[in-house]
Amino acid sequence: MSDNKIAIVNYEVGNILSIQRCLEKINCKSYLISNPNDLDDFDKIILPGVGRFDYVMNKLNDLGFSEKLLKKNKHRARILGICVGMQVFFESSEESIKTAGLCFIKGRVKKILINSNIKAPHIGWNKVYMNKENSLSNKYYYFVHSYSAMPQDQKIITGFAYYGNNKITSSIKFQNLFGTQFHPEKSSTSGLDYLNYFIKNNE
Amino acid sequence: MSNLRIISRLDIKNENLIKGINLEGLRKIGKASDFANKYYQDGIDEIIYIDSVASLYSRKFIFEILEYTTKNIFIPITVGGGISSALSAKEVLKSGADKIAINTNAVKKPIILKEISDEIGSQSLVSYIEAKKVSNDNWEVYTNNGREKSGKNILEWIEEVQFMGAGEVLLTSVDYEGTKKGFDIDLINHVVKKIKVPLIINGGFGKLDDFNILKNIPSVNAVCISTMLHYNLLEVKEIKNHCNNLGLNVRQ
Repeated sequence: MSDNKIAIVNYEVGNILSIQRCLEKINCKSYLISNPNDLDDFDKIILPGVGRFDYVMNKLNDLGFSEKLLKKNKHRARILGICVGMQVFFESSEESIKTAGLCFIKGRVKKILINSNIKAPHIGWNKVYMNKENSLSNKYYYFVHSYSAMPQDQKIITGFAYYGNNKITSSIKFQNLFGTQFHPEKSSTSGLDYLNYFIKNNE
Repeated sequence: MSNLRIISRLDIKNENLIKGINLEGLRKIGKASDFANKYYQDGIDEIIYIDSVASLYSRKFIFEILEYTTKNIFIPITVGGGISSALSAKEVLKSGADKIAINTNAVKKPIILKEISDEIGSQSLVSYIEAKKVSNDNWEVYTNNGREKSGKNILEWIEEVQFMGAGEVLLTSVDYEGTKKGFDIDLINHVVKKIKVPLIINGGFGKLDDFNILKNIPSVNAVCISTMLHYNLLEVKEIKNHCNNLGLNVRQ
């Protein structure tokens, strides 16, 4: 399998075009995958996510992606979840308590704490502090969200940002799974660098 | 508080960037994509395109601009002008925009905000509001680039758009827009308590010191600039440096 070949799960949400264009920019060939079986040809997958947790999960379930992603995860395909795409790696979310997530990672997603100056959604650029990957740390990334992931095992958090009294889980890495709460495809050069890191990571 | 966003607003007519005073007397300045690219290189946080003729003629040019933008500019892009349904909103997002801004069509038919936010989510829906002072402590909502009165009271309208699912408010002062006399602080103070979603202010920015007062109004989340950047009166970097010196955190 070619190193620079990436599948983008296409379940008709969000600005998928931007992700494709970013990958083009860093010389990666991306494919929009609408049929779950086509994921068989890939060992790198991006799961975009915009909108409500239950909306995303229902789409993934109905289109057969959930089952396929479960298999791909078992076979240790490298998967990057972006925003709600990362949140659905977890077990549940306060946004839609009746809907189970993909349950790849133990933990849940909670609403961020707000007050008169700390509003939800949290929209804007925020500095992310990463634990390794120094070239990615202390950079600004673009966020749009009202909920934040709370992994049971805090060690999987690779980056966080502060928003009012919230310590936002900004990036995670758990075995073959990568996730960002921010949108790398909207985060200028630091976002392109993150995507490059995801693609090249050879652990 | 969160970081203040510095946004550039580009009003588009065909493929060109245009600019007027008080939203009137529009002049052609140059190719929109050239300006967008410069601002991106200079570190602008977001770009808002308002297509001034979309509702009148065709949308062909905004899609061409979006095509260029998605290939070269990797920051959030908002598009406004002529969006009249959830379908047209989706079409714009599919072409590379992250958010849509809607004013006139929402004032005509507020339920459209709900239809759009149900379809694309609040986070992608910006309520674009044009406000003009009518008397002390009273502002009216205007539409069609500040040309038409709507009869709606600003505070009632702000409540309504939030109820209908707007994820952000872009507030333009028709009285101050393009005048360079400073932000319309009376208007901002008048509405700020009603706004629960992120607030983007627009209109009046004329010198760096205009930002000083924003220290006291933490619920302003973003400033949308056009004249000062388009006429090359200030650089994005100068604005951001000034903000940081003031203690207003911005992305550097």
